[in-house]
Amino acid sequence: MTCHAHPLLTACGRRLLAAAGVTGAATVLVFAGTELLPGDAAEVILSRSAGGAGGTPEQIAALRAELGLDRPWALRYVDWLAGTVDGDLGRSLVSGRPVTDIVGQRLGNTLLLAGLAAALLVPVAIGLGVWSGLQQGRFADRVTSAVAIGLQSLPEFVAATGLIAVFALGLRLLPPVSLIPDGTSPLARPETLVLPVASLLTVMAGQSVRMVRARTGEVVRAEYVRMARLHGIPERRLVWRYVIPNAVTPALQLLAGSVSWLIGGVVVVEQVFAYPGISHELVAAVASRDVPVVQALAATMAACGILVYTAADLLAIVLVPKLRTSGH
Amino acid sequence: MVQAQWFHEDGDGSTMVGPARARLALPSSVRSPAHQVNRRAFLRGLAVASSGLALGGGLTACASGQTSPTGAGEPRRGGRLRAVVSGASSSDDTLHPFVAGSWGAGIVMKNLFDKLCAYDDDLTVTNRLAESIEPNSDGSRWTIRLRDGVEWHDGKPLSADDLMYSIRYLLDPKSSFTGAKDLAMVDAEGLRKVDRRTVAVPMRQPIADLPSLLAGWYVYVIQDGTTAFDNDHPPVGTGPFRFGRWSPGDRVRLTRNDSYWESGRPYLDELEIIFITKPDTRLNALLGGDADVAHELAWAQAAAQERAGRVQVVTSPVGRMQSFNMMVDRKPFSDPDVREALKLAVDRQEIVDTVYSGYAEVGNDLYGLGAPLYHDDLPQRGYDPDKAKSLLRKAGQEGLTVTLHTSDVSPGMLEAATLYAEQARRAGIAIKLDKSPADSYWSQVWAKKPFAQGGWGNYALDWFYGQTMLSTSDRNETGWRRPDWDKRFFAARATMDPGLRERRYADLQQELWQDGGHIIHSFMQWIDGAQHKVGGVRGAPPASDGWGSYRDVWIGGA
Repeated sequence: MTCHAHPLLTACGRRLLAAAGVTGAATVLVFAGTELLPGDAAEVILSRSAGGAGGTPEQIAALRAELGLDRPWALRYVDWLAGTVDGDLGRSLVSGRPVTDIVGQRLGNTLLLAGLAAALLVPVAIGLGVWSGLQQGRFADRVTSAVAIGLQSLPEFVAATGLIAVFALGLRLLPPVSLIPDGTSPLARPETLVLPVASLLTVMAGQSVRMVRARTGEVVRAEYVRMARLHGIPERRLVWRYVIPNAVTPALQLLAGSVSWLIGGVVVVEQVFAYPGISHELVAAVASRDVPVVQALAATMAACGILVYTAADLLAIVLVPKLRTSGH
Repeated sequence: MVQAQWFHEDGDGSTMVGPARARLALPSSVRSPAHQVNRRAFLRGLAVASSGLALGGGLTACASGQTSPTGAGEPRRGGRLRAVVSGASSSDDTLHPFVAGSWGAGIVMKNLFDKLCAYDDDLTVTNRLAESIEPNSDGSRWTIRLRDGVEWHDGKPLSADDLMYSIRYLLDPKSSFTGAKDLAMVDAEGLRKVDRRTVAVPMRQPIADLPSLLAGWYVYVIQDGTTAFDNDHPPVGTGPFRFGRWSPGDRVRLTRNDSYWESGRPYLDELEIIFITKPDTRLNALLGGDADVAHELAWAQAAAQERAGRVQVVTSPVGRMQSFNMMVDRKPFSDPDVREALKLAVDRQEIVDTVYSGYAEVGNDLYGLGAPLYHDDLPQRGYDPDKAKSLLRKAGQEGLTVTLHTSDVSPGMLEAATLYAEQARRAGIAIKLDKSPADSYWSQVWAKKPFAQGGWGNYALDWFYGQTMLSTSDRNETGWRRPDWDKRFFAARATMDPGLRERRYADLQQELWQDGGHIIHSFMQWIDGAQHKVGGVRGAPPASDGWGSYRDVWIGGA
């Protein structure tokens, strides 16, 4: 971070360093969190395969030693970290399969789903939000707001179930589940992506639209916009040059929040559609106290969330030059 | 079904909908023995109806008395069938037949491997890989003769060595397989090969009915020398389908075994077993045409689908039993009057009607409804809050407060507990519910807390008693430890004379009914759905041979 570097680069570098630090902290929290859960993998494994009731204390101790669970968690964490740096995520305690196998393709599927939803969310939120904000108080704005509030209060599974009932089972336009041929990607059957993406959008769009609408309203009423309008700047130019950048920039962080919240919504939506993402693995891994798998998934999710926030920060810096120098 | 109930359950399977039929608080003797006999005869009749169906009958009998037509026509070869089953848990992440404890993984195993013998639809046992299983005069030594001409998927003939290896591997104390409990009385070291396909099996304790244990969930015959089962070590079985491809936690693809020993079977070219956790999603897959068969539908859904008629709905006669377990060695459950009062404080019919939408039978606190040796002649315990109240007064426990540990680990469990707490209030009993997270329920709560819930797949009494009712059982969920009862159980189990054996089992059950810690309130049915074009799907009890087996299933032309 030298003084000679371009201020934009400096800002970016600082953000990325911070992001890496937060990801590291998140992995410590996840590791410590799984320690706090009742029972460990040895107990769970024995409760299902060695005569119930958790096996005898000797059996549990032996299995713990075999799985390396008898060592202090801090030591195991350091080992895990060292392995991860080497690109080795370890093996599942339950099935013995390499964690990279378990996480690999399914993580890609989840990112595809979340990415598509996010990519559609941003234009929808900004487009509808600005449009609605420009005509605040009018009929179209009231309808948009009412619908947005309604959708915002829907839990994901209700939205998904409603969409399935109408578009899959009623109109028979789309498949009600997202089963995809073995060994392929959801892109091999793109129609299976439509309803899951729509479910995520339905729930997320409400809040985001309202956020952008509120900011737009503020900007439209602001002194400088009124001045610009009085100076005869054409309406179209006014919107693009003054309203949108000033309304959207502060909303970016909030949008980033919605996008990283996607991960939670994705888990529910994946279950409803049996979408081949990571959620099954995560839920199962938590249930069986399969720490290496939980850890890998949680670290990846944390990294994704942090990446999105960082991207939003950087975008804000690019859009509003003043932010580059503030804080110096 | 050992594991089936443990951890794979979906937790969200049941919505509390359904007809809340007028409640029947009738005196306990209302269910006459004649009624019971009828039910039993009905179960047998169902078995006949089902086998008729396999030969091309046009109707599927349902235990609820409904039928649904199939458009499948005569059995025919070919096609790929997609079956969705519950699962996608880490417990499905195995191809090891001695480890695969969940419903989904169990279905995969039974289509790849065979057992020596298996439960028929009426829970009696028939031979499969065994040509004969014969005891000596006192049940201390059994002789198992294998069917001739059975081939492994790799072409090797099935031999006595495979059988000896399977038994020894299952019983290997180092591996501690759950199924080892089922065959604990077998003397693995003493196994002796008589000839190419005959093995002599000595017993540590004599037993009159070894086949009912050999038909257990895990007791498959595997090939001599196998130790690993995964994509690198594809499982080699003698079952109707060969291993194709495994995508862990997602699906397993199997292909037809053309040299299957049962001639003409299976009909399907390919079978794809797909794990889907949520019952709603399984049903959607079926309704949307993404699946041909969907296993384990939720009860309320089944009622709606039977009305709609878009798919076949197939129900099993007896599925899983559900119980509230009191530990008889802990206070206040150590008092027999308290136990009796808690048994009288549950309105079983209301639980059946409300929680299971009628897709269940009322339990009488004994395991094994519909199975051989089940004690049908005991009076049905009814809902009698007043008697419960007076029993508690007698025990000096008026205004009793107990904590029932529950969880949404298995569909209907939480709802049944909630309803019970309400029903018991009329008997002056305050039942506080303590809800545990589903993921640690079986390892931290069940069989540890004095009052908790349980559930087991329903089949042989011998099997269940060995798992849960002996002083030495480590799954003793009711703290039932009576050396005298153990001794009488071993004696009954070794009684060769069928009439005497039945009397001895009746006596054991009389004591459990009177004194035991199980409040077995319901036997819920298993419900599958199938497209009309699919033939041969039958409402077999879980853990029976017909359940989840695809060797008799075909895709019709409709």
